[in-house]
Amino acid sequence: MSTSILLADDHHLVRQGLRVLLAAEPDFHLVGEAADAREVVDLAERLRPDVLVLDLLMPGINGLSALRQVVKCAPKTRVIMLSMCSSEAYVSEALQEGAAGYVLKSSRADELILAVREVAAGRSFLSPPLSEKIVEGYLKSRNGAVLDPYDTLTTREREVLYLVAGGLSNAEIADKLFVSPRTVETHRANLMRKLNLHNHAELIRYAIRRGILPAEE
Amino acid sequence: MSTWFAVLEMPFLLVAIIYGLLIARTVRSSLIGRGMTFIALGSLVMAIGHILMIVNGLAKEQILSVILGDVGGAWAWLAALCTSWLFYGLGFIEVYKVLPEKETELLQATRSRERALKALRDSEELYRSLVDSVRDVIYTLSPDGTITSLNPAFESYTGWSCSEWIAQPFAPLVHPEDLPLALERFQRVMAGQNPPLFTLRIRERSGNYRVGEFIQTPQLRNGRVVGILGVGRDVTERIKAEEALRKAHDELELRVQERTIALSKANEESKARTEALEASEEALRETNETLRALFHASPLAIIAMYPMGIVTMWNRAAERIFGWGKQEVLGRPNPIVPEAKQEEFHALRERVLCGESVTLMETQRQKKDGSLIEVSIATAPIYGANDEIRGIIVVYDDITERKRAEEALRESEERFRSLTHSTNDAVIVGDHHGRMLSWNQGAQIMFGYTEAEVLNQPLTLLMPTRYHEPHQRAIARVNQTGETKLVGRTIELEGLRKDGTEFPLELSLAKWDTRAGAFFGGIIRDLTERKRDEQARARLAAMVFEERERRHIARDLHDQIGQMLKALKLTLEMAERRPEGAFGVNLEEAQQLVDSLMKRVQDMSLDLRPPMLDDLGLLPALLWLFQRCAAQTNVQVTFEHTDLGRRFASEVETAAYRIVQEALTNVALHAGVKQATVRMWANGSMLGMQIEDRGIGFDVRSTPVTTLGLTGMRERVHALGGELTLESSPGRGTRVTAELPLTAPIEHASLMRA
Repeated sequence: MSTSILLADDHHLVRQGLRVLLAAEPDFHLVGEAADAREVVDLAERLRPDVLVLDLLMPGINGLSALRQVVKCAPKTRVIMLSMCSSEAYVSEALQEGAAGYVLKSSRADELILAVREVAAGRSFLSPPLSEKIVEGYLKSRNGAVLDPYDTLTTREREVLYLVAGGLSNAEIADKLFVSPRTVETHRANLMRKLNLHNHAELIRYAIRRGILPAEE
Repeated sequence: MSTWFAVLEMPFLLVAIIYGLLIARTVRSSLIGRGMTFIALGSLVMAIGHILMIVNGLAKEQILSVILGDVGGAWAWLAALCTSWLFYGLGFIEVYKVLPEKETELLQATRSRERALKALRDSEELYRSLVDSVRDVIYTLSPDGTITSLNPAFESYTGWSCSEWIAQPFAPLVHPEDLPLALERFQRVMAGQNPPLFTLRIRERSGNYRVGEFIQTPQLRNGRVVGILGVGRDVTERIKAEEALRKAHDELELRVQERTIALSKANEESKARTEALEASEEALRETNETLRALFHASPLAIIAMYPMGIVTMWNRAAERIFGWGKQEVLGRPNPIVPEAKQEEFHALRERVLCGESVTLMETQRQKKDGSLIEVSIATAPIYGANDEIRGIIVVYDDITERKRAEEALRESEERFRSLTHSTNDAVIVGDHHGRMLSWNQGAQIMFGYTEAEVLNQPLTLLMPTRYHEPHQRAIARVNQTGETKLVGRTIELEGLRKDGTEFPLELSLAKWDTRAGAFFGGIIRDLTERKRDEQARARLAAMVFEERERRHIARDLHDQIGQMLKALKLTLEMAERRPEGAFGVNLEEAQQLVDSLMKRVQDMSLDLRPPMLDDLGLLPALLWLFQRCAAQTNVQVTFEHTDLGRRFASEVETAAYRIVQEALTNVALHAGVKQATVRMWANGSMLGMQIEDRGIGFDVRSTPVTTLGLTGMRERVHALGGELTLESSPGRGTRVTAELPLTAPIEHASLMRA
């Protein structure tokens, strides 16, 4: 049983090279070629190939959005992303969007053949420098450390927060900090937005929770 | 017949006896008394003789001849007659021997007393005219601190009437804060000292205070201090001394009349009532002493002259001010009128001799050393008892200092004026009500108002409405507490031109306090040009930045890509020269070269603009950036973020990415640490980011913003309508915080290429 393959790359030479490479395999059967992302989606929907070899960086809508659409309109087609970029960001993005394989353009030619066979068999494939583990690690790092909104305040905003919590009016704070009441109003609005506070009561509650309000108050 | 004569004679005799005895009794203690006793005795003997003559007449007998015989009776009669004559003679001798002597003594006593009184009266007149014409307040205090006399000047200065305060303690008149000083001076004078001039605030009837300079001297009697004489000069303002002088004259005349009556009365009574005279004399002397002390203590020069200009009095202040000693000028023509003022002086003298008083006339007088001084003159005629003008009194106030101060003030004002007019800056002076008092050329050009349009107008005229309320509050605060926030600092604000446009300005404010309240001086510089320059500089910096990037790319292309391509070309040429089938080695090499080329080109492309920023969004692009940062510069980034798992407008993502990239470049180049924290957050309206390091930091104020790529960052943020805050100080690290609005219109599309 042969595997039907659709090739999508905007570079003519690359397509030609790939065609030669894949055609050498007897059980592979090229059903079409596309030069831009729109064409890919059209052909994929019409031809329903087993495997789509898709260049990540395509003009028009880029490879990733093409991937997204192909996954939607031809769910049975297995997609191998072909990319110059070994960044985990792309890899994980591609995998998350439903790609079955990710092959680096710099890898050896037989890797792509192996990848087609693997994904056609229902498995996934990543070029050797990449691995599931690295992708997992990336996804973890992507979530990153949790941000404490308090850290995002500037020194001035922190001062204003303390003084507001201390019960001072904008005018009084302005006097204390040698700025205009209008500036204080701006700082106050900024800090409340950063801290996701909507009124004075919430601000006081926040100040108490963080221990900003002085003990004697 | 003779009988009837005798009877008619009897009452006369009786009267003679009684009168003689009465006189003798009345004046018996004196010499006249003895003479009168003799006369009375003589009358008695004569009366006895007459009684005998009556008895003889009735009895038709010579009683004495019956008793003593005709011869004896005749002798007895003769003896009685002689005795009578003898007594009369003795009596008259006694009386007339003593009388002239006694009369002379009495007359002389009365005359000398009259003369003394006259001298005193003259003297008092003079001094009294002084007291009443000087504009200083003259007062006397008793040892217990009650006011015993006050001159009319007190009334005109304070509004009180003298009678309200005479016999009252002086303390309530003095400002409470000045009271300790007043009491201290009082005690020192009571101890017999002559303390120097001092200043007190004196309460007026209206409740206000006037400032007075005081000098006090003890009043001595028999070496004991019996009171204080004080002179107070009002330094609050000059009053119309003319009024005071005229009033003084009226009063003087009244006094003279009163005194004349009193004196003549005293004169009449003098023979009988010596005590009353003495008391009156004592009172006069006291007054005289007071006035003399005043004359000498007065800080004003006081001189008196005869109508022809011969000096008769010259006080100590006159000695001090003009340099002429009293002995040098008394009895001579007034030496202090300079040549140039002689005519004026004569004219003045004529006016005074016509009964006119002249006050506050400013002119020049000459000191002994020839130098001229500025004086203010008050002069008035001195009247004698019969309304004739007996002389001229002149009071001089040395106003040289005042004139000099005025001159200096005028000069300094002139200098200030020329200075403020020559500057391009606006120089505005305002008072503590916030009203404009001075307005220079620069201000006129800057704001568009002429001086006439703004004088006495509120300063708020020059401010956009949003500054009005803070300004009013600041003025109120300064007036209440004296506390200022802006004085001595330079601040940037916006001003309002006459045509309603706003412009950026820089204000430096000064404040000075005077008796009339606080004044404010503002020097204002128009920043429009400077802001324009700053923007131009920023654009230039951006261009420089771009040029640097291009150079960097060009070098990369030439040095790296170019070299590799050259190597590739060589390798392929070598393969060509090899025999058929033997070029495998070269191809292998070529393949490796192509691999590195691809890698290099990819890196360059990523550096220029990572495709994942467009393909995958901000978060993956930043994660990639942090990795690359760690690999290339060794700076490890701790990344904290919320709500970044979505796409933002391309320009926002680009700006955010570039800001983080630039800030991390700065950390790598300048911070001297290998750690940085990047925080990024998003909510409905804003995308915020913060890049923080704990490195060496820098002084934000002294480091030009054009360095460190800060201008580029700021430009990006401002173009999107966001805010960028840079916080740093030496040794405390650096923190860049930026917030970009997510819905902001794009100002400069040009910034989006990159």
